[in-house]
Amino acid sequence: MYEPSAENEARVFAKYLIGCDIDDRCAQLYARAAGGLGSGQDVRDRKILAFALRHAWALGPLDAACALRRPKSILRVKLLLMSAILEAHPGFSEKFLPADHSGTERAALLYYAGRAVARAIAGFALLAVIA
Amino acid sequence: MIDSDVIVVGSGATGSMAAQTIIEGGGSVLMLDAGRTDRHYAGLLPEQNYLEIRRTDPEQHRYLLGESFESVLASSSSTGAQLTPPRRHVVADVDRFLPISSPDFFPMESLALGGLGSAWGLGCCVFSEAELRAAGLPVAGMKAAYDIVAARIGISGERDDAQPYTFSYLDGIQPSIPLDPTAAVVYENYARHRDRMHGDGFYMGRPALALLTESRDGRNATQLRDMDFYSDAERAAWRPWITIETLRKHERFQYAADRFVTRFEEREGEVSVVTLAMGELEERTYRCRRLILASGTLGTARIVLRSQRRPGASLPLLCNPFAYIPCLVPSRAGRSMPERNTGLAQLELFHDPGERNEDVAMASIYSYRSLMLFRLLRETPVDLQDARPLMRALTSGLLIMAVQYPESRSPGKYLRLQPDGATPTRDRLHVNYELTRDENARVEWREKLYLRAMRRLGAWPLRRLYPGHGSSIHYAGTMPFSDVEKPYTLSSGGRVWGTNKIFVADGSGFAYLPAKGLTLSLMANAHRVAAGVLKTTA
Repeated sequence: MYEPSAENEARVFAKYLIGCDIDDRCAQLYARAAGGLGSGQDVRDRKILAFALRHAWALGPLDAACALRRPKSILRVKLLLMSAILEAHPGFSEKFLPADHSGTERAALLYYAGRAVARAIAGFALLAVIA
Repeated sequence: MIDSDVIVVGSGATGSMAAQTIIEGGGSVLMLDAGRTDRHYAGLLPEQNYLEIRRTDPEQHRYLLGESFESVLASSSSTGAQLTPPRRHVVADVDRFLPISSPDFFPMESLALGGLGSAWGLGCCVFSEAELRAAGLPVAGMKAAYDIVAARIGISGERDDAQPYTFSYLDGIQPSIPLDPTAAVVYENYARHRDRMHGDGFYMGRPALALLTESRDGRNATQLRDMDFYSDAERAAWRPWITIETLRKHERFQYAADRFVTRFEEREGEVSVVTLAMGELEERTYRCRRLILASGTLGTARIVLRSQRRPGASLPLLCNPFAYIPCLVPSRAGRSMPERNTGLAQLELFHDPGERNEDVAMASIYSYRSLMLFRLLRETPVDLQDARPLMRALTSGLLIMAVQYPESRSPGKYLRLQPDGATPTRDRLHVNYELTRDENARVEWREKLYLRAMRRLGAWPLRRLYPGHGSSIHYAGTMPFSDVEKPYTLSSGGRVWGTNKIFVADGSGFAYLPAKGLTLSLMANAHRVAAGVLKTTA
């Protein structure tokens, strides 16, 4: 089973979550935090995580499907951990703090909502194949 | 050999008030306390406001997420999960020393210096005369005690429609904190629909908070740094440790930390109090003439049940039913937040259909400030890449309503002590908590009215969250006040049945639990009980 280093895992997750590259310190922080989590106990969860890390395009659909079907899966726990670490980083915190939204940004919210639904549908199919 | 004239067990809101009353009345006090403290996080917290910290401090993850990332990795349903890392010492050692078994009751208890008062939301409410009578509390005595306690801690609030339910007749109230713009939208709508809201039995206003908006007594006015969930560095918020710190300068006050009280014994004019050292579990006994138990309702129940062993004894329990209802104010979504404010309650919405200030339900309304987004993302059933911009836009329009319902005694709510050789005290509290069908129906009826009221005020309820029985953190009624001497009751002065010198100063005696914030009434009762103890000592 493909198992990248925790720091590489952090970079993959950060790219997915906020579309940015992260510095070594941020990656090391994630590695320290995720150290005790491993790949999880559940075999299906481990397969889902491994698949998502091997195929970055699948992260969104699998995350969406897990959010509904397997909210405590190791993929979801690790993504939430990475998200929290990014949120607590002064370089990225603005992406999480409330701000005045322009008309375009408000319209983009509809796109995100629609994409989330589409991802969940695709993710259910992927989950069935993987797990 | 007497260690002290009076021993007070516990340093929380009630223990600190009782001790202050004894000391100010000329008595001497030894306070026995587990006294867990935060030895780490306080030193890490900068003096900036929350948003400045978020934008600038590279070390913020240490106190926002925790050194072990416990805020993120702990289950959202675990005890104290809602506490921020600098507040988590409030529940330290609780699982070990205060074990509970229950299929349906998940309380929060504390062994911290300051007890649960260290994480209190600072809401202050005066019980009405009807509520005091239902609780078995003397009206005149409590009114006098409210005055004294309010003057000690300092309260801010506003004279508005909520005043009869919040600070009521109390004087010396400081101006309220500024209103957050999201809560302001709801409050403006309330002003527009005031008559209809009153017709439905709803009254809204600003909360009364134990938070200084004007400096006094060596404590600063709040700087509105929005760090209320993390730090008390300004001393604007009253916390029990502030009173304890002052008392410790007094020669008639002694404080013994790291002592866990297990039981008492009354004999030949004195009381023996048996304690365990929390590290090596070494037993040590202290002696006094009067004992005041202020360990919190559940803690005191354990001590009394251990000390007055009666086979099969079970005690009644009161705990306000509780729900969270997140609501969205659409016009405020996608907006920035003011730099300075507070994450404490912004508004209170009381439901008093009979307009008699009894059987009142209470909702505290918070805006989602100074808590991180990941707490919301965790509960959002959407992929995290899309959830982040969506929830980021929604947070500025989000209000969290915490609704509490009044609570009376019923047969399915009780606790008892069971043997358990694996715990330091060799026992475990078993709690059963089940509402009757009528109680459930009444809660559901009121909840629907609250949802309708919030929609009328322009806040859309998004979902209803039930964190489980016990999560209101309001416990009472295990040894109700009684005019008749009978087992496991208290005299009106707080004396434990069957004893001469053992008194209870926490909520154990309240025979009814109003939905209004409990802490001010607990403190007033503690003062009242301690004043009575002082008289018996004299």
